[in-house]
Amino acid sequence: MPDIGARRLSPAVRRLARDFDLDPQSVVGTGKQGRVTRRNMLSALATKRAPQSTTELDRREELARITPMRRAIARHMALSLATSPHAWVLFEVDVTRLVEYRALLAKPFEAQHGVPLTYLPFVISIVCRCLKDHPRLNSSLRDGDLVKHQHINIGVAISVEAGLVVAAIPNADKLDITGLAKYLADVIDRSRTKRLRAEDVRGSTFTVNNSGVIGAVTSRPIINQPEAGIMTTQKIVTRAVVADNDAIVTRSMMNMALSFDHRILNLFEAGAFMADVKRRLETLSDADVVI
Amino acid sequence: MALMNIVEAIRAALAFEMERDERVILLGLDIGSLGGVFRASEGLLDRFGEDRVFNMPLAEGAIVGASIGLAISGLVPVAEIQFLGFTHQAFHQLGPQLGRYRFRSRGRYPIQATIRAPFGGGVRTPEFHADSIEAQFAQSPGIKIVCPSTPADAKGLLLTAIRDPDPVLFLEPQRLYRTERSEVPDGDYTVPFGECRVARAGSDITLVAWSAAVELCQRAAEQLAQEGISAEVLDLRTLVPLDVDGLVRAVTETGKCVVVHEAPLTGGFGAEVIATLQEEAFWFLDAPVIRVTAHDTIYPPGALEDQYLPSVDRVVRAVKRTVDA
Repeated sequence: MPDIGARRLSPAVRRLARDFDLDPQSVVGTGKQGRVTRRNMLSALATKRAPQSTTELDRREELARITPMRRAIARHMALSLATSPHAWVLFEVDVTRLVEYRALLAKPFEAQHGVPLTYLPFVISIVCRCLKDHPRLNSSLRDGDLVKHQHINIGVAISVEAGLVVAAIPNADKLDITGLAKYLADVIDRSRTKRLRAEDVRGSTFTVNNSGVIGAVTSRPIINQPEAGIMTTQKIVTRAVVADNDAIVTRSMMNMALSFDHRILNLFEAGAFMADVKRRLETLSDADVVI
Repeated sequence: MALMNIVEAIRAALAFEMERDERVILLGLDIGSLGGVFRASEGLLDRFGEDRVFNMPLAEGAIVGASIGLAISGLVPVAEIQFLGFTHQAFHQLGPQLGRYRFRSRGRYPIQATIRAPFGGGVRTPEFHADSIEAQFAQSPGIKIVCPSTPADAKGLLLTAIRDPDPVLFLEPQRLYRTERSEVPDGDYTVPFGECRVARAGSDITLVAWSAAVELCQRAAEQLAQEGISAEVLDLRTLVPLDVDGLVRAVTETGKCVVVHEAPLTGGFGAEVIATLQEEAFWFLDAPVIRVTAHDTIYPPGALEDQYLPSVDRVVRAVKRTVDA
């Protein structure tokens, strides 16, 4: 083996350097020939203090340390907005059938599978089908050309203590509702207990974000680069709605928003996708909820 | 819970399953009145009769071949091959036949059969009796490969093996057969395939092993602990199916790994473990993963065995080399 001594960085050190934006050269190495080891990186990250700030503070202000994860998110968000012209569209969906189905299935499902049955697996399942019919939504720009992905990996935004991660459900279109629910429960658990693997957060081709959990009825998400769009589901609310026969009825309503890259999609294409998701959710049938 | 050694745990599992499922039958060389070369089936002939416990001639091909036929006809055979090294005589029946029957018959004839065989060195056996050739069978798709290292796992994995709808090669660590008694759960106790076990917790490095090498790694970990190195010992339990998630999770935590096995280095199952790690956990590795194995030579006579097999000293040196990398 060629002797490259202290300059040698192991894969683990390189990953930590990249993920947490920590220059290994700034860390004291205790490995062979002074090599910076994974453990050196981890202890440096654990004790890392915000660099001496030159920001002038007056008495009424306080400086808060930004975690490496939030720093990375900040960079990614700014880059995304700078890269993609974001256009946005909002749809209103009658999810009464979805609410009924879930109410019927939730308890026996949890008893049988040991994981909760939320609305998200149903939505992801429908989104996957619609992505197949609207492949531009499941694509990326690469070197100025459009790359259409043959696989559908759904990114799911998960809030964690230190910030936010987008975990990918690989080949989500191949999973049924049960498979999606189990995968979600597992990946959410691993996100919050810091057991995510590198591949968990890589390779999503379209992202679904459930803003409903915080009670919001509208949001304008920022695209998870290099995807074509990001969809949100909002809080389900009971509202008085005028039915086809002019009667006023109470229905469970939910807003769905889509931010999309206007370089890849126009409103007509993005809207057609959203209309399909809406139609499928509103006409949900037994065949759609195979669990 | 009862205290048992591995032979007693295997005997308990055989008796339990024969009581529970009358399709289960035992066959092998001298397994009847003698109770098998290691007495694993001692007393079972008297208890279950000669229709369910019967001797076979000294012909390993016939023992495995008969098991295939018995399984096709609806029985659940558990065959004993006296030593894994003797399966060379039965390889055609094991690899190309046993593992393929379900596929070949388009699912009509799944083979619910278990082939038990002790293996591994350290007990001064004559030649062929100690050969660790488990990796050869990993190249025969259709066969599961199970390698318990404790009495509790011997029982739990054997019950799972007998009930598995597909053929299982159940490899028993002969060096550990009677070394120690430990607690084995009573009654219907099964251990699922494809779930590795943390035999000892540790944070500096993961030692990956199976069968008797797990015990060796535990001794090495003990010595390392005295020198301030905290080594985790991971018992793979089953090579096929391999618990990739468990393996990756463990090594991701420590960033360092040494794989220990009694088979020779080249083409051993350790190579598969390391290939899997570099595919799945490359960016979490902090040092090259190295192997401590037997040497690439023919298994030597007993007097040279200790130089041939992996030892505590060799494992400790490999760990230090990795930790200091």
